[in-house]
Order: sequence, then structure tokens, then C-alpha cells
Amino acid sequence: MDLKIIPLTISVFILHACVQHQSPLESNQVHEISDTIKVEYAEGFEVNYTGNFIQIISHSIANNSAFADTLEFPTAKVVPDLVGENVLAGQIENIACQSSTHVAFLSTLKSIDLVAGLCGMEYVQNSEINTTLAENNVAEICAAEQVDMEVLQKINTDLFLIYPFETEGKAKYDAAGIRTFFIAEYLEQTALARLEWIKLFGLITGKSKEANVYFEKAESEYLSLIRATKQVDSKFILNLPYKESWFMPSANSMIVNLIEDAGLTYYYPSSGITENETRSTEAVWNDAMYADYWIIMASRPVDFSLADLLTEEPVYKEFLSVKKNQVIFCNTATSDYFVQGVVEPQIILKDILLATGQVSNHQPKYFSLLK
Amino acid sequence: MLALGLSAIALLFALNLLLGDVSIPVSDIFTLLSGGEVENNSWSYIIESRLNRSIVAIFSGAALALSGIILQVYFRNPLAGPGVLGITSGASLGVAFIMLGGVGVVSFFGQIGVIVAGILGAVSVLFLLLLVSKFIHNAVTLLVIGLMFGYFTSAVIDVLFLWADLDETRAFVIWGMGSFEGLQTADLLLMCGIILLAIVSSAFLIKPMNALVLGSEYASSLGINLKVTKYLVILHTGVMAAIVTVYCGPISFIGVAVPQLVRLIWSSKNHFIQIPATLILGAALALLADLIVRVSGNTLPLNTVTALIGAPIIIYTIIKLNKKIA
Amino acid sequence: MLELIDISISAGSKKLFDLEKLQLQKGVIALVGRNGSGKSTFIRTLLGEHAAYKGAVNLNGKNIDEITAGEKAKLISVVYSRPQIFGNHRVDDVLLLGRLPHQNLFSKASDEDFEKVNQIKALLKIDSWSEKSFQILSDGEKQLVMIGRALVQDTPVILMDEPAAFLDIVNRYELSVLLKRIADQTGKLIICSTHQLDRIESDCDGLLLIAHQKMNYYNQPTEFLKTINTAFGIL
Repeated sequence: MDLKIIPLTISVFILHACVQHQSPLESNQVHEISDTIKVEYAEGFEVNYTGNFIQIISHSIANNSAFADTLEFPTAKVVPDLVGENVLAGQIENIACQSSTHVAFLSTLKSIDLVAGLCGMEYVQNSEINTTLAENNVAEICAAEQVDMEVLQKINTDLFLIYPFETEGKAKYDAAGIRTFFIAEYLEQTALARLEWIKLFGLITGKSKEANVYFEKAESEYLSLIRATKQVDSKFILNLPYKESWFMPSANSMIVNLIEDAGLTYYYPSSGITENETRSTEAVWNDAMYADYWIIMASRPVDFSLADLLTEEPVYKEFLSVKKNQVIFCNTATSDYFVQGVVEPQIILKDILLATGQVSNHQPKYFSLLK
Repeated sequence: MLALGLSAIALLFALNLLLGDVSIPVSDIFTLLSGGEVENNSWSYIIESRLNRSIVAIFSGAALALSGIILQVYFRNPLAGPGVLGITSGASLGVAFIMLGGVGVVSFFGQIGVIVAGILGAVSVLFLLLLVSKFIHNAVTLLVIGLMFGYFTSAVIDVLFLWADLDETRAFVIWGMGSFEGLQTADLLLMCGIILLAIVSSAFLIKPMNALVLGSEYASSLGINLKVTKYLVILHTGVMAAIVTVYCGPISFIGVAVPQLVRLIWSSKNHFIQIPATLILGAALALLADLIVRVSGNTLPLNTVTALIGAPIIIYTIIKLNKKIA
Repeated sequence: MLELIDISISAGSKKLFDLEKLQLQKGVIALVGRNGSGKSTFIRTLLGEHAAYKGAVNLNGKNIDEITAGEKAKLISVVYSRPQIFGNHRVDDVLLLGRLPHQNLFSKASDEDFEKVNQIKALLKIDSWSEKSFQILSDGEKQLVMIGRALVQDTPVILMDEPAAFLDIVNRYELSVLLKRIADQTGKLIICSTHQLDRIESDCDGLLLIAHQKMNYYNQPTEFLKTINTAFGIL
């Protein structure tokens, strides 16, 4: 071994030791809990109450690639020995989010002021939220979908809510002294399960009471809408192709379950896969001859019309849904479907019910019949 | 040999009509082709789409292979191809500006804007190359400049990705994988018309290409006007590569592999024979690649298949011709 | 045939040489001069590819700059020092390339073209090479084929720019003898730049010598070596 490397190595270690990665836990801080959380629908997280801690575990659902993450809040003064790496003491004052849907939950709980950094600020369509984010000087922590570590470290966040995409990603943040927690609400298979993650956000922000109230209200609206639903005996297909590939959401996906809650039946029965399925465009053309509804979520110009859609592909005019005037469209360029939509499943359901003629007296927010 | 090649094209064409995710009986295909009607209305569109797709494959394959052989002879380099001059990259850049460059909404395939931008991009590279070629008379230097231009435009496209949203990025990435699918009849006619024109006028390149195998000095002594030839080469390869790239994405390997295969298979060195052979083999290879894409249920991107077929061909012919090509 | 009047050739800003008057009809003419003296430039001037010259170059009484490229290719053929082909051509394919100026847009070879190729193969005694791959020939054999290609072009003038540069001693000897034989048998004018002087008196009919920025013509073979040595002061 080259001896010259030794002093160099030592100096690196010394420098390394000088950099303080994480403030030591102040173990006398206690997390405030306003209400008890009970998880009824969500499968991606659970909450355990032990003597001195509230433990939140987020984990993979069913056959998805396995992952798990734990966060613990002390509810009583704890002896320092018990303070593990998952423990987060005291109120969280500064959150960074990898997904703009996290902002929707926080905004609903009126905790948006906690957000210090956000990945993909441009995806937030809600102007009110945008204004608040701008006023609070929230940092854009991503460049080209990649988290910028320097920006992230600069905002000195208490907790960084991340996707469970890559486990080495978590290790990377750990090494940088950034506490992270996996949020995978998008893997939930029903709208209410996804919405229920608001309770987790309530725990984190100390607003579990507000979270419970919001959830219960939305839940009861959603359930009463289902009760009012007639079985319309109609089949539906989803979305639009990219050239020869048509990405069709899984029969177990949240959106398919939500539309089925409106009394419609998905054209493609469950194949046990939870990811989107790629079908060939010509196969979907063939199937579309028999599907009564065509429900599209896509980014299109304002005032996008049925006639505009038909110019995209001549065969569309032969679709049963087009002939029946039953194309339901959600313009993701103008509506806040991907963010605000997450916390308003009852409105989405009502949109679908209106478009399928099952309710009246409703102002559609996300989905409406394409004319 | 040429007849065999044409039969291969006919066979692949028929298979392309017949095979697909939706099985349509042969009798119904004939009914549809003769203008009749069948029980499922979508089938006529599916057959039309398969037909269009096959025609696009034939013309694209032929155009890329022809560009390839012209460039290989002109630059005396068996690895030259339409991508090398940077023309494909230029077209990509034009397409990227529309698809990624904050037009605000996702741009559709077949939209006039993409087409115009792609051709503008390719033509800009063309003019730049013409400008450079005024000062640089060395074919290899021009080739290197083309390569550098390719790297530069790729880098600019990477920069454009920074401003693109997810939908735009996805659309562009899918376009970049290459596909013969999705052309509507008007676009198809425009594309095939331009390619046909280029193929016919490439007759003017037969003699220059025959002479250029000896090098530009010898070619000049054989009465070839090098200046005119240079412009013909740039114009033909530029227009053909651009139009294919705009409509089908930057398709790799066909342009490089086919001319080499032709050199190996056909004994006549007259480009009066070699050019048609290149067209036929290029068309057949493109059809074969597309057939594989379709048989895979469209899960394999076209560029993956052309690489899977093309790269071994290139390796094989390079080894085989290693001693035979100067 | 080839006539040059009051020629002054330069390259860039550098003047190469002057030539008052020269008329050549046939035979092998050796073009001798030091490196950089302008031998290749002279050949390119005769081909009409070098514009930086004053004076007139006439071919069959017509100024070289007024002859179209197509016509010129039927009057002058050329052999360079490095034989190279892009492609897996056979010897016959390479020879046939010489017929290009005589062919139509599609380069279709006529019976006459094949006839010419066969004649030249017989003249060069390379009949048996027809199907051989050009790339596997030796350098000497390749250069022989390139000379055959120039002969197939069937021009009254053949220019050669150091054709023996990459050949060994035996091949140089054979090339020298061959050129003399071709010139005698066909009555062509062969101008050949060379640094090879051992057979210059026996195999060349004329000498074009570039020395001290002057080009002079000599036609007494027995005096060639002495003339050259005197001009360069190496005796």
C-alpha cells in the first residue's frame, strides 16, 4: 500500500468527523397526539400504539417489491437508551416531499406551511397551493426528476417523505443525515384506502383529529354515493395509446375500482398484476367496439373536444363509446387530478356518476362527458 | 437474387398483414382488401393500419439502406450510415423542440408541427454541412464534423429534457425507440412520395458511386464532378434520413448493416445493381424487424430489434469483408 | 497532342516552376524533380484540377479548361501511387471501372467494354486474374491492375504520379519495362513521375526535369542521367 495515502485518509476522517450530520435527539420532547388513528382501508401502512411510542410502519402491498419503513414518535418522556434511529422526537416543523400528492394531504390538513421543499413543483395545478408554496419560498428539490442533494441539505428538513423506489436511495439520505420515510399511497387499490393515508399525515403533523374528521366526512359521502349507484351494466376501457402501445391500468388499480364503484364494469378482468398492462393498440381498437364507456385521463389543450379526439385516429369514430356519446374525459393539463384529486375521491366518483347519468345537480370537477 | 429478395418482401408483407394481436381470418382480410365489409368495424382500420405500417416499413428500410450505401461509398467507410452525418440528430432535435420544448401541451404524432420541425432540424444540419464542406474538402473530416454535430444535438436534447414534463418526456422517449406504426394515409403518401423521388433521382449517383470506390482523385479522373456529387450525396441522404426520422424515430442499424450485406451477397459491383439490391434488402430487413416487433406483442421496441438483427450482421460482414475492403 | 505554352505553376503563394514551351506526342516521358518541386502539381495541372497556373495547356489543340470533365476522361487517364478500392471487387470489376467515361447514366457495360477489358488483360498477361479478389493481390499486382484500369479507359494520354512508390525492386523493374512496352505497342503518351533512375535511359523516351524553378524537356535518353546529375550538382 502506498504510504502516502495514510495521512490523506486520516485527514479525510478528521474532516468527516467535523461535519455534524444530525442533531442529537432531545429525548425529553414528546410528540403531541390529538386523536387516535385506526386504519380501516389502507394496506400500505399500519399504526401501533405501544407504551411510550406511536409506531407507524409503511410497507409494500401484496406482491409488490417488498419494502418496509418505520417511524416512531415518543408519547411520553423516554429514557435515552430507548431512542432508536426510527424515533422522531418533538413536533416536525419542516417537511420535504418527493411527490406533489404529499402536498395535497398536507394542504387538506392546513399544514402546508410545514412544506420546505418539494420535488416537481410544476405538477401542482392548484393555484391556491401554488401561491402558498411561492409565498413560503418552498425549494424545488428536484432537477429533471432527480433529487438535488445540496438543495435538500440546505433546507435542513426534519423529515423527507420519499417514494420506496430504490432502497439504496434511503441509504444515501441516511448517509447525508436526512431522515426519510417511505410514502406509497399510490399503491393502494381503492380510493378510500388511498385517502386514508391522510391519517398518517395527520400523525406526522400532529393533526390526527383533523385527519379523522376529514376522512370520515369524505368516506361517508363516498359510501352513500355507492349506495345510490345503479348497476348500469356497462363496460369501460381507459386512456389513450402511445403509438402501438396502450397502457391499460390494472383491474386492481385504484382508478378502476373507483369507476367500478360507480356501477361500471372494467373491460379487462383481473390478471393478478397490479401494474399497468401494456396492450397493443390494435387489440384495444378491437375491444373498443364492445366497450360502452371510454374514460380518458390525459393532458390536452383547454376546450379539448370529442371532435379533436376523433382527429387523433380515424378508427375512434367506430368505437362503441364514441357512437353512444359516452366518452368521459379528465384533462390533466387543466384539472388538478393528480394532486387534489387524491384527497377528493368522493368528487371524482360523483363526476363519474354524473357523466353516466346516475346523479344530477353536480358541478363536475375532474371528469365530464367529452362533447 | 433480386427476384428472391422481392419474394421475401412479398412474403413478409403478407405475414405482416396476417399476424397481430387481433386474429383476423384470412378470408376477412381478402374481403377487406377488396373493399368489402366484415362484422367488426375495427378490423378494416386494423388491416389498414397493418397495411400502412408495412408500407412505411418498406419505404423507411429502403430509404435508410440507400442513405447508408451512399454514405459508405462516399466516405469509404463501412461503418458510415444516416446517423453519422448528424442528419438524424438534426431531425431529432427539431422533433425534440416541439415535443419537449414547452409548447405547453403534449404534441401528437402526425401533428404538422413535429413534421415541419423535424425537417427543419435536418435541413439546418444539411445547410451547416454544406457550409462546412465549402471549406473542408476531406471526406473523413466532414464525417467527423457530422459525428460531433450528432453528439452536440444529443446534448441539446438532454438539456431540453430539463424543461419537459413527464408526458412530454415519455412521448419523446417512445418516439426515440422507433416505430413504423401510426402514420395516417396523408402522412404516408407524403413520406413515400418524397422517398420515391429520392430513390428515382439516386440514378444520378450510380456513376459517381461506381467511380468513388477508387477514391475521389480517381473518380475525378473518370469524369465525375466531385462538387455536384457531394451536393447530391448530402441532399439524398439528408432528405431521406430526415423524413424517416421524423415519422418513425431515429432508427438504427438498418442503414449500416444492409449495404454491407449487399456487398457480401451481390457479385456485381455496379451500383445500377447494388442500389436496387440495397433497396430490396433494406425493405425486407425493416419488414422482418417490424414483424418481430409485432409478434412480440409490440413489447420490443423497433430499435431493439434492428440492433438485435443489425449488429450481428455488421460484425459478421466486417469479419468476412475485413480482408476484402480497403 | 499535349502542348504547353508559357506555363508558370505556383502552389499557394509559392512559385513552383516555369516552362516555356513543350509539345509531346507519344512515348514514356519521365517526370523527375526533387520532393516539393511540383511534379504532382504538374500532373494535376494537366488534369485540369490545379487552377493556380498561367499559360495554356492544350490537348489535341483544345485548351484543357474548356474541355468538359466527361470528354477529358476520354483523353487522359491517371495512375496514382497508392492503389485502393472500397469494396470486395474482383480484378475484372476494377478493370471495368476504366470504362466509366464511355458508359451511360446506369453504367451499363457493353460488349465493347468487356472486349476492351479482355484486350488489356491479354496485353498485361493477367488473363488468369479475372475472378481474383483485388484486395488479396500484392501491392505490385494491385498497381498492375490499376495501370490496366487506366489502359481500359482507352485514353491517348496516361499520367502516372509515382506509380512505383510502394513497389519493391523487382516490381519497379517490371513496371518500367512494361510501360515502355505499352507505349511502344499502343502509341500512347505516358508521363510518369519517378525517383527511380536506374532504367531511365533504357525505358524512357523523354525526360521532363524540374530544377531551379524551371522545367526542361530532354529527348536524348543517353544523356538523361548526366543531365539530371548536373542539374542537381550531385556529380
